[in-house]
Amino acid sequence: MGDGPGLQETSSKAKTLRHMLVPADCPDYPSLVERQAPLGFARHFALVEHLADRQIQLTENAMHPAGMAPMPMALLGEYTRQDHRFRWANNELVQALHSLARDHQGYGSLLQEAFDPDLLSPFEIAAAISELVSPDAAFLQLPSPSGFVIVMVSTPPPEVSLNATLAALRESARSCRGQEWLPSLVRQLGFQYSPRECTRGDESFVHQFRDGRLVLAYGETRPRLRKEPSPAHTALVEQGLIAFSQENFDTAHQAFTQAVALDPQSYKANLYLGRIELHRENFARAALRLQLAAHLEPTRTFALSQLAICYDRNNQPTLALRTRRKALALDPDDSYSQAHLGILLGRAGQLHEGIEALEAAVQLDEHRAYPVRELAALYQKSGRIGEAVRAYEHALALEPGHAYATEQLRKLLV
Amino acid sequence: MNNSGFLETVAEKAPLGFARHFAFCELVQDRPLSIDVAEALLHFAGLEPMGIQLIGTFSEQTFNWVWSQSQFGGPACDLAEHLRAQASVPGYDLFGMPELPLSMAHPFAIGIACAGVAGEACFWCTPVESGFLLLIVLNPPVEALSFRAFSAAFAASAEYYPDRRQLLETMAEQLDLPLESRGDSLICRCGGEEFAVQSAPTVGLLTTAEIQEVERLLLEANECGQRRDFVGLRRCLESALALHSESYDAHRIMAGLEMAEGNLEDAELHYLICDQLQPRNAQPLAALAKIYEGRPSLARDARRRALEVAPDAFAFYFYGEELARAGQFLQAQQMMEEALPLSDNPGPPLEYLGRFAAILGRRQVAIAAFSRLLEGGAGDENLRAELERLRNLP
Repeated sequence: MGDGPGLQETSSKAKTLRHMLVPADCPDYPSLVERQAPLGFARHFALVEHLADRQIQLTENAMHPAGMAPMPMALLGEYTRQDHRFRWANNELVQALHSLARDHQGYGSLLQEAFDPDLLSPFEIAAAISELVSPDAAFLQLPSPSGFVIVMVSTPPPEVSLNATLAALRESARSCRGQEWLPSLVRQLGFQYSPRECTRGDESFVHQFRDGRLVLAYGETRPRLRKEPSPAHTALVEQGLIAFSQENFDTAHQAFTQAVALDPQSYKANLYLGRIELHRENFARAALRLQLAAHLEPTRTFALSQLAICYDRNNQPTLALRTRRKALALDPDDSYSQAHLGILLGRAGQLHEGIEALEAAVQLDEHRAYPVRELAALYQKSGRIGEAVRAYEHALALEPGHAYATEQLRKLLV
Repeated sequence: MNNSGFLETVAEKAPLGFARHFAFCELVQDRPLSIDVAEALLHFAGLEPMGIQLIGTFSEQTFNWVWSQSQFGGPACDLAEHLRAQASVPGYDLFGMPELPLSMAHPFAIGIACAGVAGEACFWCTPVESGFLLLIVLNPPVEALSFRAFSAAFAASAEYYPDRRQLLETMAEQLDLPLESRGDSLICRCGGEEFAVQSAPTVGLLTTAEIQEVERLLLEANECGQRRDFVGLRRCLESALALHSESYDAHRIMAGLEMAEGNLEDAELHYLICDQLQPRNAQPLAALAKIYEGRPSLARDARRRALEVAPDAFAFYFYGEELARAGQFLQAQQMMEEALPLSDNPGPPLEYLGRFAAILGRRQVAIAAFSRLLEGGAGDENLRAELERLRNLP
């Protein structure tokens, strides 16, 4: 490797680099590994997840992931496939590390100019010294023409996901002796440690050392592909909502389609795509989107309600009725749902049940003319003329001059 | 009055208790019988005498323990006496009450609990002058359980199990019967027949006739698929979904059909719905990972979810493959190491393990993996050359 840069930081941090401090309870390199590498690996895997599939460009002293702020960076060294050697870079970071190794007995293995990575793992070194470099440091392995390089970058530490935690545990198990390091790492990452099952919020995993091998398994699984929406997804949904509210359905459709491409399980994007498809009378596609949205937020009724309308408009009365009942089971006080149920029942010839539902709808919202009018129609259909007349009068009082109600009332009075 | 413990015991013992009871009823049918109270024996014509314990008598309104009635006594009443002594245990107050209203505990429930205490036993009832006598038959000579007895036991136990799936699972476990999931249904085989329960959450408000029609349509769809009649297949699936919009099987097959016909958006939606309907099933997630091939990060998420749901060799292997595509070789190697002990065919994970380890400069791991692979007869000349190269490195 040529002359590499130091980790570009403020002058005070550069000063720290030159005086890398070994923790008092780490008399030799293996104890430093056990003490520090697990968290170093956790940061590494968290950073890898954080960078996702971004294109990365390296300049002299910084790493530039596409769409993210540049990260100060220093080269630790390079592995060459040809001769199976890892060679240190020549920069401030490595000088600080070598200075540490010279000053402390038990760290001599770090002083070799180049070494066989089977005998001394560069990943392990990088993980173990991350925190000595900076509280924000994490290492990355990047491909190079002859093998790979390991760089140390400075970045605010991203959240260490369950997945990154498990990867860190698996990797640490290669480097650390015994089992004592595990509870400590697990607690540092915010899990409640238990020999039986480690939990953090709604996540958990189980672990066991079997024949010296660490066996890990997921506990309760997350039901979503993506845990958190990305900022790009959130922006697209916002954009879609604005376009939808302006009835600019083509733009809204485009924005929501891009949003589901980023997160296929986005409740809002699926819901509004469903509504747009419903508006366009693409009933089959609308039903799928709305059904998915209803499952994604099972305690919300809006998607179910739209789905019931979709089935109704697609002439699928059984599904419409069943879906409307589901929506009502979640929110029995929804006057619109009660009214729609009443109409569906009335159409299915269940006049008595339909009237009951519409009466409930009117009771829930006595200022809306539509359910009163529908109730009047059902009274009329079932021969309850007096009640029908009173209901039409009520409907006309709420919405004077409504043509259908006026006409029906006239017929009844004649 | 605290009978909570008693009720819990009955719920726990009901599936096995009723199964033994109905199997015993089938065995004895209407054979003439006589009861020898002094010897605590029950004699059915044509069967060996059986040991019994008398529990109580009941009429339309009340149940009376045998220890509260002077005409009973001796060794045949030992179990009832023993239970009477248990009345001091919280939750079992009724064991100490000489006379119980039937609204407090049905005689069958008492029989279930008593048989449970007796071990290899079943409850049985026979008419007597004052109504019916409830007794426990010790070591009833019941062998195979018929499908009819199984069905009757399921129906009788349903009172204690609001979740029919859970009841079927419990019955299968207690009776040591094979159980399998098939689409929306959970199926238990007994006496050469299948007893099926549909997933409660997806059935919703379907009638039995609708469920049967959906099953028929799915069978027809299957036949259409076998003779490659895709128009017929689509028609059957659309009809099934029109009846039961939350049928996992209908969505799954439809997803496959849409995928085969290149309608990826609809295939994705059907698989996403499948994932919501059966979140513990890895198959839709694996299919989604395929659909997301052009979106590597989503493909990886789908593989990771599949791994969470079913951490088998395939899940580790394919997730490792996705990670390698993203250049995440440390984790990719971990996944192949996890896949290896679970694989029936260790060749593919071994090859990847060797390749990933070589990329990471872990020469010894790579050599070990390639050697094992080549020793097993797999691998090709390129692999042999790579192994040689690794071995010859300084």
